[in-house]
Amino acid sequence: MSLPRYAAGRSLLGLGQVAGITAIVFVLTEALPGDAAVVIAGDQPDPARIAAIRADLDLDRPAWQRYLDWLTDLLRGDLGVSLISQRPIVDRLADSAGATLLLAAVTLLVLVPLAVALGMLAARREGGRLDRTVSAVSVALYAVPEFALAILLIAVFGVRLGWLPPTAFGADLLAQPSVLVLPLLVLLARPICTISRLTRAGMIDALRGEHVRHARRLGITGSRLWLRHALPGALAPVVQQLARTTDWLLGGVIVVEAVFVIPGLGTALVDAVATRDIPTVQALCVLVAVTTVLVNLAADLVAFRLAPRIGVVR
Amino acid sequence: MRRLRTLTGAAVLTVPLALAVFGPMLASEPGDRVFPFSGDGVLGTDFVGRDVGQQVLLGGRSVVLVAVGATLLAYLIGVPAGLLAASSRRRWVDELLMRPLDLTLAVPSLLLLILLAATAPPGPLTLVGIVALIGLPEIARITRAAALPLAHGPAMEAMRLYRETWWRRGPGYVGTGIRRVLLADAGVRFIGAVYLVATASFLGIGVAPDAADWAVMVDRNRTGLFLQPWAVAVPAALIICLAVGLNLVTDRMLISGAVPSPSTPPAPATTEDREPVSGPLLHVQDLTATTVDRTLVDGVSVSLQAGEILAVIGASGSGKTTTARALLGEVTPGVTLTGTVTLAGRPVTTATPPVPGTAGYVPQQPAAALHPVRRIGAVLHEIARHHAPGDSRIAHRRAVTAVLDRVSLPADRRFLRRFPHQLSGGQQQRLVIAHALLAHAVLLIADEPTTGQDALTRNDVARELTKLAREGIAVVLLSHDLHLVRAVADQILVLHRGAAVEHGRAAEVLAAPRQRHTRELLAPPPARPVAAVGEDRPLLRVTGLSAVHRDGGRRREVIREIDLAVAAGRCLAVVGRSGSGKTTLARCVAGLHPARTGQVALDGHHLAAHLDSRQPHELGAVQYVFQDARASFNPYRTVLDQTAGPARRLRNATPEQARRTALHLLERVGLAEHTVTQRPDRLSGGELHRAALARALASEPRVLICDETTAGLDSVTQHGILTLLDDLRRSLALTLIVISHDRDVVAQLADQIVVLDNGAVVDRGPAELLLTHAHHPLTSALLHTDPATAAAPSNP
Repeated sequence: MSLPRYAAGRSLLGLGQVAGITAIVFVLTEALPGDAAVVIAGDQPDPARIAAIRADLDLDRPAWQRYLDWLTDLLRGDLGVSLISQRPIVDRLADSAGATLLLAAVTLLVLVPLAVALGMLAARREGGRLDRTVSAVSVALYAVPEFALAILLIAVFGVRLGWLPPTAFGADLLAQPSVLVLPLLVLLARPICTISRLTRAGMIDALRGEHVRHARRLGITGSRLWLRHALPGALAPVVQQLARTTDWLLGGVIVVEAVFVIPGLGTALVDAVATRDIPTVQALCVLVAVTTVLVNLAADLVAFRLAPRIGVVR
Repeated sequence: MRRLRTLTGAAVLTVPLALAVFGPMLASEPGDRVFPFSGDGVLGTDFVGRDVGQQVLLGGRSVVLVAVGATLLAYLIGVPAGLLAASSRRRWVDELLMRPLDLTLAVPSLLLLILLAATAPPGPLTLVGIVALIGLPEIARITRAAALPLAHGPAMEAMRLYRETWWRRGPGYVGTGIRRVLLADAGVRFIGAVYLVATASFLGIGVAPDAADWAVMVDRNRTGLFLQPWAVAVPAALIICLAVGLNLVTDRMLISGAVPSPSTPPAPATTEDREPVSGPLLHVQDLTATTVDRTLVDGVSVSLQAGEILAVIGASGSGKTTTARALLGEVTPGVTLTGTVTLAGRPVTTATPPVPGTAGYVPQQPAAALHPVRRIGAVLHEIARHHAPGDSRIAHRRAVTAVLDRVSLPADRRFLRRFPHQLSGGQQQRLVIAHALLAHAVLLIADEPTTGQDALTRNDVARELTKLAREGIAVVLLSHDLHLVRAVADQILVLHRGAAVEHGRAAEVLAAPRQRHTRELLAPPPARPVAAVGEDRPLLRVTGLSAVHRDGGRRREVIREIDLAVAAGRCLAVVGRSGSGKTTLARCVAGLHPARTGQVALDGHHLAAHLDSRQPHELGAVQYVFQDARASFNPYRTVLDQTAGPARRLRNATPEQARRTALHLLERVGLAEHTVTQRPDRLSGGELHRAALARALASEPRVLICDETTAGLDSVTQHGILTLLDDLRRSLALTLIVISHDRDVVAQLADQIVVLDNGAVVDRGPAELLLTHAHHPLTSALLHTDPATAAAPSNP
């Protein structure tokens, strides 16, 4: 199967996924059993407020009509108005997206070269001291929840030693890069484990593989053998794991923003959930889901180029 | 090292786990609340003035309990869903189950958690449900992936052919097969659940805000981080210990072990100092390869001139590949080499492999030697550049074109932009040879270049190798394909259990083998006995049979409008190149592949297209022997038990009767009782082929279908099985349908031959006629030994 054909099939699937996810989000947030307005009003069950929410959500119309309206609005880029602040949600998201994007981008920029290099170093001497250290640490660190690690790092470096600012509260992220160090460490901890382990395993497999041996017999050695002959084959699973890492990053960002008080999308989501601001929750979910689908799409296309034999649309 | 890690993990895990289990029992009645974040008590007080020590004792249980509950729930739903998706033969069931699960995998799990928690009433049960729901898709996928090959593989088909009970097929076979995969994965799932539960509690989802819970404590007390760090640090550290300890203990997937690196880096490439060497190009003296307890190769000595072809023959496991790898200075870890190997005047050892480029190796699967990700042109140019660094681009391009021309591959741009997987097997083989030629190889080692190939490809390979030798390259050919060896070899070396039992000029060895083992290997297939007496009335009749394969979403017609008839007691051979539809035809007759149109009739009686709709006696009457005997046995039950299956299920024999029938048949095919009371993994390939025959015979079939029954076996084993088949046919009055591309098999067994090409019958007739004079070019190419008459017809 050729790349354009695969890309077309895979894009269609991505489109289907986005459609499916919007449906799930809508069902979960609006088509709740009972009267959504009463649930949303929560602690202030005063009839006027319930009536206002009903009007905002158009609850008197059938669910499928509301879904279609919501979808058409989404396609036009109109995400609706927040129930709480009565401001357009697009503005709120635009305000907070910067911090989150910055965090995610810096993390990925540090993560990829570092993790791949670590994995390759570990594969260089299989069973050597570096390999054993890297794999033991990565096994141990892999499952540590971000919040626990974050708190511990703050307690040690922020409070006890006082080397780094313990929170980013009120700080300008770009002007004061030191506030980013601890969040970055927390976000890196988990993905760096999986990616370096996958790179290591892939490199070891590739170096033992017949085609690398064949290249070696033909006289190709050194960095050329490593980078041009062994690495490309090892990278296909890494790229797909990287896409899943982006999922994790989005999750991790929610926690990290909460712990370090960074006003990003994660904070917006936690706030919206706490105040039951349904339209904002919906908009955020769709945004995150679309990002995830796009990232996975890109990763699958790269992986297809790296392992052209996959050839099947999942 | 590994043990140390597990022990450390256990130690780290003990503290949080003990606190979670026994903590609540040790905790005293809640005392009076004092000032928030004060230093009272062992660990001070928390944000509402409760004693942190007490809270730590109480707070572990909820995390562990919710995680355990969620993991169990996820398995309870996920495993049956995955099994159902894998075992269903209806595509839409699979799609319906798996597509929505795929969809949830596309949403970040924490987001899903927040979304679900925002809409559901809070409480630990909700949290259990949500975390289970998040873990479920992955569990269902893993179950499905592990069960899919089992639920549709040859072993399952073999069981369906004798209508094995559901209990033995499902839990007995698939269940046992996936158990290990699921158990290995359970640790990871549990850790994932702990992670999610802790994070959710931290975000305030699913638990009361003042609950005694480590994660909640971290969240609530962090406002007092400066005043009273213990209230935060202790529960955070406990959660980290829980996660780290669990991971260290359950980690089984990490490949550890200090295997020494398989080869040392070769000496720097030097292409200049290659002078023409007089005397033998390759000289091997007393080559011996040993492991700790076995001798793989025992004192092999050979010398080979440039332009000569040495054929190394021997049964599988006789040390052919180990010898060849030693010539390249490579060994499998754990093997020690002694003796001397000299190539082009330079000694070859594991520390000093041949000068890069001098020795080329074509593995049995040539695709393995080709870089799967890079276009073939890029790699060819890289090699050309490497071996002539001073030359210009144009010179490199010319060199590549010349080499491709030498191995009869096209050299146009479109071809060079392809990936290796877009080439046919034969083209891949020639591409690997082209690499070696570009690197100026003087020795080429070809490992089983014709195994599993039909006669046409075999002739191509023979031509190719002779041509290389004529150009002055020494070739070492490892093969048990005697036709090829006869056609090309100058010298023959016969290996038997690692020892060189015979060595000499090809003509002499072939004409007058001295050793008994060589004679057996070289023996022509036993002469065909007098034709068996059979009736002329057809027993099995196939009319207008067509079948399709589904390729992704498209249907591809594999066989078209096939008519066949076989008389009772006769043998029909179906021959054709690979991909011609032979196997599909056989599977349609057996009911393993439902035909789209057409009919199969046994003795005038119509058989259902699908084997599950056939009556037991109909199932028993038509049995099928799979190509891969090992894969067709359930690895978890003894061979005897499985051989008794058809008698028990299809002929209503009591277990004791069935066992006796099976033992009798197994003895008949030459397997002793102590062999067959073991599981299949203890039997050799040849033994399993015999056992598969016995199992197929246990239902007293009238028609036996054998799919490439001897492909990939060495000639001694192959002759044994063919003689047995012919013998069985006579004594049991069996009707045989043999699928093969091997002339020897056809010549020995067949009464009638049908030739398939692209799913249609192109030639048919009595065996003696077709084996000598065929009108269709494909027939003569496939069935005539003389390469001269086998001018290759084009085969799209």
